[in-house]
Amino acid sequence: MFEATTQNRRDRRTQTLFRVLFGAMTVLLIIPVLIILGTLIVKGGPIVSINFLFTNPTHGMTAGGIFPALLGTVWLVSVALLASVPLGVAAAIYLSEYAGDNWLTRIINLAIINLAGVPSIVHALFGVGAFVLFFEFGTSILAASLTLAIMTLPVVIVSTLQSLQSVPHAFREACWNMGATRWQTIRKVVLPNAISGILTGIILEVSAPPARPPRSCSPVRCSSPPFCPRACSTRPWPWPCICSWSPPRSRTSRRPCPSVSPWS
Amino acid sequence: MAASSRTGTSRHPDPDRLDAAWFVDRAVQFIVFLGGISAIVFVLGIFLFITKEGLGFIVHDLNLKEFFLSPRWVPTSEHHPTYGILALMAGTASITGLAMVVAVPFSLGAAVYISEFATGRTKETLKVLVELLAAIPSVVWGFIGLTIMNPLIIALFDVPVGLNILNAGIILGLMAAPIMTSISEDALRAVPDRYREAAEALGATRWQLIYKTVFPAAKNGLLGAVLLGVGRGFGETMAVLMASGHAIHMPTSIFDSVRALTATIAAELGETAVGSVHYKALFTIGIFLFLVTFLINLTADLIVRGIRKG
Repeated sequence: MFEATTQNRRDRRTQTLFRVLFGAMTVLLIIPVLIILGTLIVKGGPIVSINFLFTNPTHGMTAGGIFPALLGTVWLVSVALLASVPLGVAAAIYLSEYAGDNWLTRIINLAIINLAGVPSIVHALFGVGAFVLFFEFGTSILAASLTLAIMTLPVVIVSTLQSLQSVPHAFREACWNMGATRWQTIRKVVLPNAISGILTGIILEVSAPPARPPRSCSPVRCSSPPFCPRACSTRPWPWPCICSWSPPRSRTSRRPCPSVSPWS
Repeated sequence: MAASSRTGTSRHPDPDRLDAAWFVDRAVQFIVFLGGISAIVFVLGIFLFITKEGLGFIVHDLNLKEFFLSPRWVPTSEHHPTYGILALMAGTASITGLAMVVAVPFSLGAAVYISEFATGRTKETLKVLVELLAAIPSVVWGFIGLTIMNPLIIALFDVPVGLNILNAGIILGLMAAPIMTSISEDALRAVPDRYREAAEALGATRWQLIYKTVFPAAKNGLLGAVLLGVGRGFGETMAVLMASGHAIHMPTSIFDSVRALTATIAAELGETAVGSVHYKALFTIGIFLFLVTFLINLTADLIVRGIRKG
């Protein structure tokens, strides 16, 4: 029989220590989610009703419902998905089924990582510079949605790519052996097998994006039309002018309201 | 289809003939290729368009020394507008730095626990909860900073304002942690089980195994995860805007309010006239942000790729 030496016991104590420590860290990391969810439900839950969701705000945004904002979000996301899903799926098909392991593929991968990593505010600047001003869409659902589409593109590509790659390679080989072209293989074999995964990925991305790519709401702030242009100048200080399209406040600027502005 | 075969009859089709299916295949290949390179096009497009808007400032008004070394960001002064981003960079750096101090140990610890200690249902539940943490929109985090953390910090530390580096750093750390946790966990899982089995066969405890075998093997992946977290913290806008206090100020303690680069663009872009110097200066900050995140992502990619090759 083996006798546990002092060294053995010390090792085991160290192991238990780190196990507990890391477990506690994990729990501490997760507690904020529960606190946030709890706070939101306790404070916001009683207010949510059919009436709240489907009526217009009244009394200068202090009463009534959120219907216009809700409708705006639905529009933004739908148009953005219309643009990003076909493009993203095409890109994923290319990367999974056609691309070889070469420099172009490496650059594409790097571009996808960067597209996901570029700060959302830079996406917003791009949206203003390209869609609002250069293509003259103005501040519109179209401009905001296309900006969102580019932001969500990497998520769509990555999640679709994972679904496509989970289809076993043997399926493709069997199909090629029957004389099918690559596209026939993709359409008849790969896509039917991957479609549920692709859809799940896209739906999750809309409601709750997977951990990877960052998501933020700033492009919408900068390139969609003002929902509450009046409300924000009256907010107390810590609210950092949520409506960035409001006229210049006297605190920061004494100049008159710019006459040519993308938000006018 | 009346695809004309170059030789023979339809009874004995020539395998090399070019029929409709072949052309469709070519067309699809071209279309998906366009999709594939769209990511490159968009990254270049982003750089091109923000450069186009910011170029006038860089060429005519940019004083490199003032831009990077002056803490005075006073774009709306009537007599002498100055565009110095030093204070803004200090704000971003201090918030991101504190966020990493919070997030790195916690997310590495959580990744090790989930990947190496937890099993079965616990493991799956923890993974889902971490993903849930990642799904909270940044504006909600900002809201939490404003409504929960702010009074909490005022009460705990007896300071006049709770919207400061501490608040924004903790919020940002919690936001960056789930991404870092899940990428670190990927890196730990990528270590072959052979290594663990070999270590266990030598009589190593679980902790010795992690410390001496798994960590060295996953080193690059973990570093990549940290870098991606830094990139995320650097580019975060909304939560930082709401939780940092948004005051232009060289920070001297973690209870100072600061302003971040990203938040400056978000707050001021709407107040500027298109084409004005101020407007172009904001786009120049955008170019700077783009280049820095590009560099961070490139480095992270190279480091992570390094382990796959070696």
